[in-house]
Amino acid sequence: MTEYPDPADLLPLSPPVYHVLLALGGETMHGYAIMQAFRDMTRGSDLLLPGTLYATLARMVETGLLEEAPPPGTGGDRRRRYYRVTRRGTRVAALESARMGRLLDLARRRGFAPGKADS
Amino acid sequence: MSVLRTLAEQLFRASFLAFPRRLRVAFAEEAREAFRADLQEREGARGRHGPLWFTVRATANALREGIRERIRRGPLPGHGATTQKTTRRKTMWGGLGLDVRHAVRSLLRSPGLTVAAVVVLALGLGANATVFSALKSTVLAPLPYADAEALVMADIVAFRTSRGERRVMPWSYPKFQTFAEAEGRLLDPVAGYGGRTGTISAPGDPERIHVEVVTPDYFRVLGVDMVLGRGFGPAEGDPANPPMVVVVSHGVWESRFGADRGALGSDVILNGRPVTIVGVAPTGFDGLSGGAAAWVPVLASEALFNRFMIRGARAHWMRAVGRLTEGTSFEEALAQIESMGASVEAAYPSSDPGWEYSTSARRLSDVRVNGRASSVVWLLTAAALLVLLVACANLSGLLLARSRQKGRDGAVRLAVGASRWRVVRGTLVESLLLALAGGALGVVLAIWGARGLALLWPRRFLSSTDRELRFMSPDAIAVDGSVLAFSVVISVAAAVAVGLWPALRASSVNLATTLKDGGAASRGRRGALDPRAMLVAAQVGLALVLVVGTGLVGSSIVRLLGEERGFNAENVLVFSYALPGSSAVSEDPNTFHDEFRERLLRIPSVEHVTSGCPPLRGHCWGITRVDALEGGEPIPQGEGPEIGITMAGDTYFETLGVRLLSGRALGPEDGLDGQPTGVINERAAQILFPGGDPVGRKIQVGVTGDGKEPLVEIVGVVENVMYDAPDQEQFAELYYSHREFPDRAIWMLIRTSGNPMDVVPMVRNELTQMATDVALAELTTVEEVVRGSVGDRRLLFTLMVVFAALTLALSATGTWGVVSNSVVDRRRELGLRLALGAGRQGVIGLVLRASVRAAAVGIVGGTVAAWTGSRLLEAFLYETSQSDPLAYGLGAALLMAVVVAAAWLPARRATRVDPVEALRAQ
Repeated sequence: MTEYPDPADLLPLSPPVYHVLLALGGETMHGYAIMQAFRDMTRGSDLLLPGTLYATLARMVETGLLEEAPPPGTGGDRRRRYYRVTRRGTRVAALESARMGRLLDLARRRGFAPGKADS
Repeated sequence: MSVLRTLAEQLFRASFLAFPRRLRVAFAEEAREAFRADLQEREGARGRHGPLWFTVRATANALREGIRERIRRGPLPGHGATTQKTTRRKTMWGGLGLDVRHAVRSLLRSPGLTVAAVVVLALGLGANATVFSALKSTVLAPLPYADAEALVMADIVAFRTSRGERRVMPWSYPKFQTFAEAEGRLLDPVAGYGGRTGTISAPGDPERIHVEVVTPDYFRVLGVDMVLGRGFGPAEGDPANPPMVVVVSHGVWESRFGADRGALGSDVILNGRPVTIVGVAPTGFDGLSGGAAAWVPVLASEALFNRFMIRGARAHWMRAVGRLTEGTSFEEALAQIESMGASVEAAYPSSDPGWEYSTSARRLSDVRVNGRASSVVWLLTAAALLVLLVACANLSGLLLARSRQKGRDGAVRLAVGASRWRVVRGTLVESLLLALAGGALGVVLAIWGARGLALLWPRRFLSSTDRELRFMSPDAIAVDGSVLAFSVVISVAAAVAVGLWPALRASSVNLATTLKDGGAASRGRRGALDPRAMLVAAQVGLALVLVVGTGLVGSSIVRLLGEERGFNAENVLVFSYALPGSSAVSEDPNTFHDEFRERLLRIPSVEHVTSGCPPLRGHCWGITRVDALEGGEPIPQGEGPEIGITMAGDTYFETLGVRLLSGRALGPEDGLDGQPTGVINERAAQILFPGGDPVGRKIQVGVTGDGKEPLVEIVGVVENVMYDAPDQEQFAELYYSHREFPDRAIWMLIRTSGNPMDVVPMVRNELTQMATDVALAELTTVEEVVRGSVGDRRLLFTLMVVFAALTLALSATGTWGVVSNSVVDRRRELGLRLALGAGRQGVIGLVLRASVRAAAVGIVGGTVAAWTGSRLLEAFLYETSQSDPLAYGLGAALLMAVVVAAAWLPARRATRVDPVEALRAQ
């Protein structure tokens, strides 16, 4: 089995990696669907361009954050590769989100961001 | 537009080459699909969300990511860099911003050179962008119909068995019906269409417009949906109840109804008859024959045009177009259509035993090719590329001179440990900046260039070789996104072409000598051309190719315009008009025409007025055969010599200045009841009555096609008038009096004493006073027609002149720059020579000799290249050999003169070198 680096070593995640994790969530999607899902989630304010997307997907599979999966249901397109987040990927996403949460909290205390700090 | 989309996709796909093979194989296809889908969603959007911006961003992004992938080993993009990776990235791309800043600063430091370089590149790139704007609309643009690959044209094909001749013909409506009613057609739906000119009047001013007469399925075949109302349907296919309805173009709807939705259901007057609007076509749709402003169902054509269009089995006017049924290949459909010829022939047997008829099919996308237009466009593309090559060679010379000055700079950088790549990259960044600036300026030039090109574009280049299929409008020749994308690509290519050599030289300097002798590198080996002289030779050679080609085409045009045309083109106005089918004036068209003529003659400065075919516009009444000669050998049916027919007014020959050779001209006594009379041209006299006098003899020609034609008495012979293009053989011609066959549609010719265009308002005024629903059309002068007759060559020639002039100017400045530079480089040597007593002449000769030698090398190479390339021009040459020694000789002499003149100034400056000054300066 491949030795993956410790999840904590991957932090902070680069924006495209985090974006892909967010777009996929618990679902199985192909590349273009990820692009679309991300665009819908951000209402088009951020772009995930095809060049970045596919380079990122390849790396994420290599580092075990994603795995290739069979097309969901019967409507899948066989020429495409489908991806889902691995358990490891979920963990990394959670770690990254927690890290960002802590930062956001700090930002609130300093008055950089709206809302109330947790503690 | 889908050319754009294709280009954008190609660009994106090319950018994926930046990725390592492993990732490319895995993802390129999917990425391209994702790109395409995203692009499609953005169609119509503009600015930051538009397709253009997206293409640029996605392409740049793929390039960047791809290159990153190639140099990275680490686990995740954009993060967790190992030390090794960072160093590699740094060496490959690090400090790129610094390089750009450095390049900008160094370009600004020598503004003269920078401006010169940008202008030189802009000329080359602008020429290419201009020509590409024509190329994309002529050759590359797909047909503007949904699923255009499934569109097929069905034809009638006539074979002349005796001569193996094959002609593609239109259908007659009865024959088309036989074809369309066949069971199990693989071409379904199928529709017929044909163009006609009609007059639209009320609401609005009368105007002659192009009308397409179509069968009900026409819009369904093309997949065109109305923006308002409906297209034609089964309701328009009932012969018992001829539908007086019309579909109007978007333009007519806007101009005559102010785009009011209430226009639906209201009437327009077409050829004097009210027709009801049932639909409005979408913007830009103007029919397969092009320029159509209205569509009427074929069954209405009896009332609107003439009855032969529906009933005449031999009135071949209709083209047929159909869509392949789902899953049918073109070959299958072709086989079926070819097998249907027999049933059509059985239903309507031909009367001409010399010919056999059958049916065939062509893909619509194949039919659209206008061979002549695409060869002109490809030739111009080649010419523009030559201009760009000359510009690149020119700029290369400039940068090379600079890199010698900067040699020291590069050497210092190398000496302190910069890698060779960094030095090369610095120079490349500089040429890239120059090329992009040049490309941007080139696009601005191309906007004007394309406008000019659209004006020069010959009308016949808008249609396919088949006149009934037009595939582009002159507006299509314009700078758009695809031209921009193309410009970016060739700018980058030009930057590499220009910058690479100077860049490699800058990075491979000999450190020791360069740093020691202050940057003035020593001269190359004696006898060998140094690189800068080679660039001069290249410019001269490439320029010669263009100059020779221009000379050959120019000489052909001079010869064509010098052909004996048989008429005096000066000060003759031409126009046509047609009387509407139903009005009172159309009962007796000749009375109307005669009265109009009388009125026109009263206009001051009008000398003659006549009706009849204008020259050089084809045989406007048609071509037929001589069936019999009185007292001659009987002629087998369909074997007689071909003869053109022209209806001529009483002063036709006088108005056009055609010489009468014997007998008399046509006059008021001709065309009345009794013995029909005619005048023939010299060519007809030679063919029909070799050696004899034709006056007083009688001939029979097939005009009406019923075989009962009377004998026509020949009353006179006139000089040959050119009706076809000047490079075609002179036809035999028979002139009838216009009274013989009264026609509602007519051409008028007016000879004036001054500028013929001055009388146009008065002509219009007279016509309006006589009838409010008749419009002037096709208004021009015979002089303009003569110029248009060399149209495609004129277009080619004009652009080649511009391109040749550009390359000459570039060669001149290139030579001047190189010689100036070498004089500066050789100051020490020249100073020494002068100090040792060399004469002024000697020094000038010394400097000139190098340039002359470079030019001679260029001329030899250019001559060989021109001779090889001139074969491509063959179709455009007329009585000019492609190896015309005059063109080559003059071209070579011209280039040599340009080079010597350009080298002369700096050479003279060389003699003013002060020996003491020069030696001390070192």
